[in-house]
Amino acid sequence: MAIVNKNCTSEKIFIGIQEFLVLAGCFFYLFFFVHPLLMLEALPPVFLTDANFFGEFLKIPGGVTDWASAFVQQFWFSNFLAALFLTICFWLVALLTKAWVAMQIETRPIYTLHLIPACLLLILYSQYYFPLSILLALIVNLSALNCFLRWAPEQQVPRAAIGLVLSIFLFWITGGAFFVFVVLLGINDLFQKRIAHGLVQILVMPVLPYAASATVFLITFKEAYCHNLFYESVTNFWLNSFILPVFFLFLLIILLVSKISVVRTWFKKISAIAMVWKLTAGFLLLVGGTFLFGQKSYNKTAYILLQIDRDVKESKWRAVLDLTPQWPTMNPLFISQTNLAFYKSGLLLDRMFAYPQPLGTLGLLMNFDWCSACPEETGNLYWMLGLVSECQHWTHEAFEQKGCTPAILKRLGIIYMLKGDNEAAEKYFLNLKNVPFEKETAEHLLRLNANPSELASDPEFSDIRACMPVEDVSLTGNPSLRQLEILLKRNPQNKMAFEYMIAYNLLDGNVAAIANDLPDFRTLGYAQIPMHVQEALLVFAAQTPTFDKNQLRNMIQQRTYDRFVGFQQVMLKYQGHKNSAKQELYDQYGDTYWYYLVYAKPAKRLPENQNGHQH
Amino acid sequence: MQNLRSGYRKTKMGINIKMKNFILGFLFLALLLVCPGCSRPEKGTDIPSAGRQAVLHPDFSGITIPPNIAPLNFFIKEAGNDFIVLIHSTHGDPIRVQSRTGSIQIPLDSWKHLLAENVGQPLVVNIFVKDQHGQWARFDSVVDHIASENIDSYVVYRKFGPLFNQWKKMGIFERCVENFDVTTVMFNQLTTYKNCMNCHNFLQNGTERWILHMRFDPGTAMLLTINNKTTKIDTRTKFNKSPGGYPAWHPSGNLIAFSVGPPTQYFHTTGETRDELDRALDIVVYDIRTNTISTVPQLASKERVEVWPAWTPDGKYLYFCSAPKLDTFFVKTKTGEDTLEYDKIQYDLMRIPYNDQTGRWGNLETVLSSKEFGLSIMEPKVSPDGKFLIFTASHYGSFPIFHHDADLYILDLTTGQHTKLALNSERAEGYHSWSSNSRWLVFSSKREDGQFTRLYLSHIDSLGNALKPFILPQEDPLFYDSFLEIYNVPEFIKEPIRVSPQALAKAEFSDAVAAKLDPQVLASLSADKAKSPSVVPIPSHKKMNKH
Repeated sequence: MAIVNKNCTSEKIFIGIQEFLVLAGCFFYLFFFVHPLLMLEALPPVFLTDANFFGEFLKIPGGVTDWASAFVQQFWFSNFLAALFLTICFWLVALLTKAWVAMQIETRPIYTLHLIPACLLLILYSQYYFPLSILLALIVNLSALNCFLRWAPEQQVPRAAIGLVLSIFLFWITGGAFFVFVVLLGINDLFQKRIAHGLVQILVMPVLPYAASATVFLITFKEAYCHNLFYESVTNFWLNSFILPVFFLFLLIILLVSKISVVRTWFKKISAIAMVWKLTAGFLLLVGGTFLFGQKSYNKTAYILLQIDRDVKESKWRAVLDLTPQWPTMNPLFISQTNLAFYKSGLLLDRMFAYPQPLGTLGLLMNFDWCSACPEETGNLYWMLGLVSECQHWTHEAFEQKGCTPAILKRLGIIYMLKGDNEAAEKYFLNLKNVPFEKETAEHLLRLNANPSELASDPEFSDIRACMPVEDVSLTGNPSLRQLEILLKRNPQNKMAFEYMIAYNLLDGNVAAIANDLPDFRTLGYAQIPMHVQEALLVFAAQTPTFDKNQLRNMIQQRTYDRFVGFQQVMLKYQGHKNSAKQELYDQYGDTYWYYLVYAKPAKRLPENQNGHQH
Repeated sequence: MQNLRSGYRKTKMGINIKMKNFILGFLFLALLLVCPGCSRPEKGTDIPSAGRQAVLHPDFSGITIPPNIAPLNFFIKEAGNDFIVLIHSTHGDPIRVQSRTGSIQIPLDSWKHLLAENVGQPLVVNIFVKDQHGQWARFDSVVDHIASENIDSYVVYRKFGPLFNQWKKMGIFERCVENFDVTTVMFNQLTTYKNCMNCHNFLQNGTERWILHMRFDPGTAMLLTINNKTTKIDTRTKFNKSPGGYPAWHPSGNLIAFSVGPPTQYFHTTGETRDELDRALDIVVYDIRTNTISTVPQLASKERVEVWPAWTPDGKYLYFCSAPKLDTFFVKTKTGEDTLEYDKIQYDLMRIPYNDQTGRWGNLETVLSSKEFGLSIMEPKVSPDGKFLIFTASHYGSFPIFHHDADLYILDLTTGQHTKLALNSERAEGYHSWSSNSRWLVFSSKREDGQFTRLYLSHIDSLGNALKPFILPQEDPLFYDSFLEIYNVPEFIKEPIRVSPQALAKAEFSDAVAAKLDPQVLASLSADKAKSPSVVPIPSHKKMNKH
């Protein structure tokens, strides 16, 4: 008896150590590599404390779980807390899976099985775009399953009645994820010879989403079946969308197969192997599998995109510039964020060509389609530039895409406040007040909104007011130089608009315009002409025989002259064959405007979007 | 026996009667102390007067209301910690509402009885407020008037965010104005979220024949419902590459006039950011009987754009708005650039006779020239009794809701006199709809904050005078304060829609029936008009100037 107890205790200890190691691994992986706060960038949780907001979630199956996940994410103050929360959820899933498996078979040949869903979840949540509601829905359904199997009456009729009611309730609060409960319970009961209840679960309940969406709920059939069960938007690896429910189905099959006597005998043989070996093998398989599967499905592009987004929002410009060399693809958003970081670091006109600028002006001011794809980022850029009307336009688009996130509510409220639409601003601030932890900010803004004199003296907004256009100009089509000209006409001291205009002309190859704008550098207090402008001026001087080169004497540094001569000499060495000279020029002058002009400048900007639409 | 002997009786719960009485007495005393509502200050004669009316939000003071309207719940914007409101009229019991917050929610049944008993009578609202020192004050009575004419029981509108180009949630809803019930007519959550829906329109304020437009994924088409059976019809033809919009039912129920052609959005750097241009629009008529689209040169001129069709109730005239083509507003600047003088685009009010028996159109008449009127005319709607036409007018363009100066005007169709309605505000008023008895108007307005369009109701008397409008009441009087969606395209209907959203969604996912193009159209219109129907591009180098 004592030996049995001792074995049992040591088994628990070993299993506990295994669980601890796996979950600790999950936590550290999340905390150090995934940075779960980036999930809030990918799928920003929209949450308001008012009853009407909650009421809207009751109208869709799975809405309650969506609401709960948005609520929980309000408390993700740091990567540590977010990683801890996710790890606890993974542990709960493992625990509930273990409890369910324990109810299905008498002997446990495999001790690692219940940790598989935790590892699958780790992989899924490493992709950032996987909604938290799927995890919460899974926990709710597994909890309900365990509770039902443990406490439901054995008599067919009450069991079926309770099962039916519980299934409907689970469908309402978790959506399509209720199939985890329905299928596992139904098959379990069928094999436990509770035929009536098993059949009700397996045959009748799958009709529920169809019936509900055809009558009560205003959602599509697909949404009724899939919400919180699958997530199709995961694009990195198709299997990820279905892996969780597929795992539980697979597990169910294993457990059912284990009832066959031959398999049972085989299981007993496995049980006879020393537990340490079993645990070690299981652990290694689990870690190895997770690593391989994780490698296949990890989305590094998403990580960089989201991290840059976050760094831009937090004004960590150095961090943005450190991340940009890791660009997996050339993307107008990446490049425009990098150029913004260059400007904010005071390096735009000195270092922008040190990074590839293959998209030309599109990498500075994105075109209409790209702005539409990333409206919040576009809105932020125009906010910094001072073109408040464009910021308003794109922030409204972001509102439609992302909902009333605190940042969007605040931005729109401030825009309307600055434009003098105080009643409209109040609406946004009142909603901001209903966002957890934003009450103080909202009350401050409401106070400013109600006191125009206080607003006028507020230093936070005086800069932006000084840049806001006061003359009505109409804009259509793609963002262009025109936006920057409007800003400079309003306020010639708008340094960001000025540098963006120079950068735009550089990217466009319009060196003559840069030469025309030379006096403005002095007006704006530049101690020295920026490097790329010097390079452009040398090009302009070389291209324009009538240009008086003496003008450049005090503007161009000797080193720039020397490098220009060097660049030309390499070209001469290859007798003007651009392709032959490319590598050598790249090695020595890859960071210059000349290299961009010769090799990287795109032919033309994309055609204009006419922006036709109908309301 | 044992209980009786001991002098105590026990209740079913086992509490003896003496104890029960004690508890009840204690609770009663506590209630008297805690609940100030038990006091009735309104009966006192010595309550000082505040010397003014209380500030109500929304402002429901001095208005004329339909006898079948939902309770006008309001919020009293006065400092206080107890509020009593007495609502009474000539007949029946007054309604008493007490609130600690100032939010007055009137019981629906009592309100219905009071209004029904007092049609044509004044409705008096007395307000009492207790301040923080426990002193009650009596505010001057608010007097409204209960009109004799009912309002149509339902308003159908579109609700969505204040969008620019993108949207997520958008739906058409039916609000019963007799209570607060809102029913979903169609919601893009039922299709793909990408679906835009608009231009819901009903034959003579009924639901026997009505249409709804769905655009983009899963299919651009008109959902035509006749006797609760919905058919998906693609109104695009070789002539009109854009589907029909701004529909108007001919009273016969067999024809629907549309304008066709895509607008272009552009943006201002100050004020209201959004604006719209009609690059090219024509009016076409869809014949339900033959599934045919047709038009005539008067409605699809090469030289002009035509938009906003509206039939007279007898079906003998089609009113619409018309302006010269966009090309005519491009001018060359001194620097040689093409500049669009968008703020010079003004629309005239036109009409054209139509003979339903022969299907023939008459000659165009200019009813009101924008040149003489000084403003651009849009959204004409003829009253069901045929006496008046209400239109929207603003400085330029054909999309009034983006123009703060947009106002509603009424044209007396008998005398030809037009006047600005008294219901206007300093901010944009727009899309309006007549009730079936021609005595009520629902319109959209941004008067509240300049950004969020809300629905307002106003009484129009037999002489065409509009009375002070009031916002469509909500159960929660503070509902609009933080509501970040807008209402537009309100249309009155007399009875509820009986087609479910799911049935409409099913129709939307079905294959569309393609409308045929009337062969005479191609023959009567010039060849180039048919080939390149409508779109004048605005290249990026062309500037848009305000003059």
